[in-house]
Amino acid sequence: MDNEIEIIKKIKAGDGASFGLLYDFYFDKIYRFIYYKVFSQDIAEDLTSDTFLKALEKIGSFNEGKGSFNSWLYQIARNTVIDYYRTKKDNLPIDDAFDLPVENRTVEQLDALAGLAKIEAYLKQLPARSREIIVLRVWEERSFKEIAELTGSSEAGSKMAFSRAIKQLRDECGEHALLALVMLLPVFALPFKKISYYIDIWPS
Amino acid sequence: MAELIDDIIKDLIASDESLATDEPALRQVILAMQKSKPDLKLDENFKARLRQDLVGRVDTKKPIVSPFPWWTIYVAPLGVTLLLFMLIQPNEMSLTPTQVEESIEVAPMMYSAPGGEMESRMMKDAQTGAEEMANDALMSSPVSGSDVFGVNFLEDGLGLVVSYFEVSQPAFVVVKDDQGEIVAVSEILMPGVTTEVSVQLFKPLNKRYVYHTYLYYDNGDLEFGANSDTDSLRLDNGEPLTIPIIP
Repeated sequence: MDNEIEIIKKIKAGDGASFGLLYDFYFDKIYRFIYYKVFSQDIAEDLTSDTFLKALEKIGSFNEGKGSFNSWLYQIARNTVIDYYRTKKDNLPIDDAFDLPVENRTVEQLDALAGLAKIEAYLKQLPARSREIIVLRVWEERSFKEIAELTGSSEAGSKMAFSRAIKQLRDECGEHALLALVMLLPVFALPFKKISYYIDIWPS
Repeated sequence: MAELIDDIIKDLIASDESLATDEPALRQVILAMQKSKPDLKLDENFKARLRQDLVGRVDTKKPIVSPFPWWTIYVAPLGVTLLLFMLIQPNEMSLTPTQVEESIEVAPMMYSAPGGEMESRMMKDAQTGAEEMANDALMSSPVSGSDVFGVNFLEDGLGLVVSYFEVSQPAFVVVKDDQGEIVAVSEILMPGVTTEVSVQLFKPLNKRYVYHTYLYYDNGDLEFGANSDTDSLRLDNGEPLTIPIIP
């Protein structure tokens, strides 16, 4: 966002209109970021609201010399989601909805995650950080440069983490695909057996 | 979508060349991820309401810009403290014993009964006293009619000085301590104006006490006779005219 530093200075001086500009630029991104972690509209709205409120309260302490506003805001959003799950779920190490036990999911979350079909089970195996990178790259179509900024890592590190996560997914999918094939063999084999049986009894 | 998948595959192979052989499998995984992207639900009304709320919060917490430089925050309280100290120092003499001991050097205070010309002279005397006896504590007492007097404690605490005295009949200035015990009696002061009359104290001043001055009119024998009740205490509305005086 152009003139972001100037806008932040104006907000610090109490200019509401400037905060409106920042909000307009970031709202959709933050909402999507949170939604893809919670898969619930109500929760995403609450947590997005909390994120912007916290940002507003703490903007006086934001120091542009220590990092971009972009990564600062995403860090607030990430912590807000983590805090939400950890306070709601007895301090369990839950970073997003993938970590939630199925019985603790809302109907909306179940619906959303059901859309992921088998992928959900594989994503669940990954660390939350890797999931976040995959979501940012594949669903949000962010470049690795942006991902690096948002996750506080280097571009090369983000690429490496993404590559590792995709390979893990490929391996998981591959193993399951093979297993599924083995399990389906008898089903496929049956018609052939029947055919051969009928061939055998075919009157010569 | 195909473009994005191509980009992703390209990046993957660039970071790890061994993945090139698995390109079809990788493509399947990424495609599956892409296709399973959940539909995002966003309430535009919520977005607008939140915006309004947040912008309103910024406007209401707009800081008040001070016309003074930032360093006045630190200097101003110091200045106010000094000013208060200067203003209340004389009055604080009676607050604690320690302060009483340190309060010998004070500006004199004068009191006078309503007396027209006498009152103005009294004020003049007060100013003179302030200039001439900065190291003394001045005590004074209201007297009725045109009777006026002012008394200073001596610096050594062993006596006092009637700095100004003007009464209509012979009288004595008497000093009593908190317990009502007489600690000093002036010589008889004759009608008219008298200044700078020394008075010896019967006992040293106790700076923890507050002393009181009284005016006694002589009964004609020219000797102070409080013990024989012959001299009369100057009364106003049945009460002795007196003020507390602090050494």
